Amino acid sequence: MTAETITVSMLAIIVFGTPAAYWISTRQGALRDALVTLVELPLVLPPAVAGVGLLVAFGRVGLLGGTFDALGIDIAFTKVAVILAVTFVASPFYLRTAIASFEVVDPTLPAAARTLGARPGRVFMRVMLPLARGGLGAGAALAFARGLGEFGATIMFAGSLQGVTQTLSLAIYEQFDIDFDVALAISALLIVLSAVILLSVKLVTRWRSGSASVTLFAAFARRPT
Amino acid sequence: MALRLRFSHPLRSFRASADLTVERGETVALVGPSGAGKTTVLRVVAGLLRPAEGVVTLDELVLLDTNRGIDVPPEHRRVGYLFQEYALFPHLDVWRNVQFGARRGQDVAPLLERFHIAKLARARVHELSGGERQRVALARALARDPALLLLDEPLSALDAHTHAEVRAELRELLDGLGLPAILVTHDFEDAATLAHRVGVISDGEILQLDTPTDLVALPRDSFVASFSGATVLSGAVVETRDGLSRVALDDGLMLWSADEERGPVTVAVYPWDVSLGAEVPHDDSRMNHVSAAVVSVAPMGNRTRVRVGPIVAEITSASAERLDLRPGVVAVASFKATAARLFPRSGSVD
Repeated sequence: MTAETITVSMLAIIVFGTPAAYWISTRQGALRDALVTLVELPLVLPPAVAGVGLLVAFGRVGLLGGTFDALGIDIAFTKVAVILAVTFVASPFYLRTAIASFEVVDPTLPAAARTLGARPGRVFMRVMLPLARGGLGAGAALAFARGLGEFGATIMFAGSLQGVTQTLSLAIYEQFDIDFDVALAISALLIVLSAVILLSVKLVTRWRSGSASVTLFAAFARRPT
Repeated sequence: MALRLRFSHPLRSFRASADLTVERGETVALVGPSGAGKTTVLRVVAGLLRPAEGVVTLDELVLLDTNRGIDVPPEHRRVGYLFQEYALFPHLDVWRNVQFGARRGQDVAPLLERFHIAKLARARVHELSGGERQRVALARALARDPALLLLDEPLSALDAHTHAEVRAELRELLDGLGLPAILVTHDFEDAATLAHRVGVISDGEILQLDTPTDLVALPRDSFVASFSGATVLSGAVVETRDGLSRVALDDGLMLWSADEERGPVTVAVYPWDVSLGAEVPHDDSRMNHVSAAVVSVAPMGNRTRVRVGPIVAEITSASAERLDLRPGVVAVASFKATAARLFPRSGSVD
């Protein structure tokens, strides 16, 4: 359950987030600041607020809910809801790190690539992506870790239906009342999983040292200029 | 193949503009202090910066015309651009860097051979020396068979030892290619060695564009004079007599100049017009003799620059040795009144 939703969420975050982050990193001034703020918003939003927001947007009586309902699609309290909630909450971790890693690439490198005959798409694939790779990997790992532990928005928007929308974090919450040992076991599993993720990020960045390795701190310490 | 360029673009504190034609086989150097807008000119030609207003043409080919809404993207401009610090791709080896600029199916091996970097084909950029990086960047810029060449500070990333050698190589390359080329540098000597014409830029404006010889012979103002190597001092004309001006420098020294000016002036003296001696010579046609302590002695190959008081002299190293010039020793700097050029100076503004 958790594995499936987080995989889909991460795919969505990376496939749509990477070009979006690159696009934002090439903007300047007020537009860039506004976009970055928008990206960072889910980061500071209380998860319950995020859940309510998603319900209002996609719930059966929500803004877009009517449209989906008419099409016979019901989102709230389904797997799709879990995916939406996880994506919403985890994406800032990836986007913010990705924007920062694109911004630290020496701007003369894409310029040089252009004068060497590369169209913007090729510049992105052959120059920007490889140079920002370290930071993108770190951002993805952080988003993954955050998505894994996602709880608040999910329980509000997707509920905790075993086998349908119950993620590991939600299972802990449920088992906490029923069987503490099970809750403990799942918690231990999540701790190990999170530690492995963080450790592999560290190892990968160290192994790739020399190239642009953006840590979480670098990504967030960089103030909009 | 001639490059025609005219543009105007507002920068932070001034407006950058240029209006020049670079003929086939001609190298034009733009010199000026950092932040004068030199690189802006290159970026406009390469298509990396779209100026507020301007036209760039290569023969009949229009690369940019803001009035007609034409702006050919950089990848279609056939411009070989050597970036400052070279902008080599750090994630690619030498061969892939050069290959990046090449067309599909093109073999870059001959290019690597030509620039003596074939042995380094598999090396990463960070393993290369400054001179090697420059050759890789040149090979990469030429891989696309460019129609014109832009060089941004091609020699500034090199140490003094390789500087002269690489400069000679670059000169040979530019002569051999026969393309219009624009070179940007802060070093007048590099500009004079590499270019047919030199433009002195300040605050985004080309103050004077001339052959190096003419720039030094007839600098338009004290800025051009100082940038082409002259020592510039400020003072005021206190007396004019028989077409000569007597100038009191701010530090009290008195000089004669063959230029007629009045009021506050700047005096420009080129170091190669100044000779040195141990004492004031008798029966000398030169009117200016400055007796002062030697401030510094800087050997530059077979020549040595010696600063005596406020005056800088460039003499042969052999003469410097013979005179036994050391800081603190008193020497006499002598130059003709015709070698002291005057430029009017308005009040406190230089």
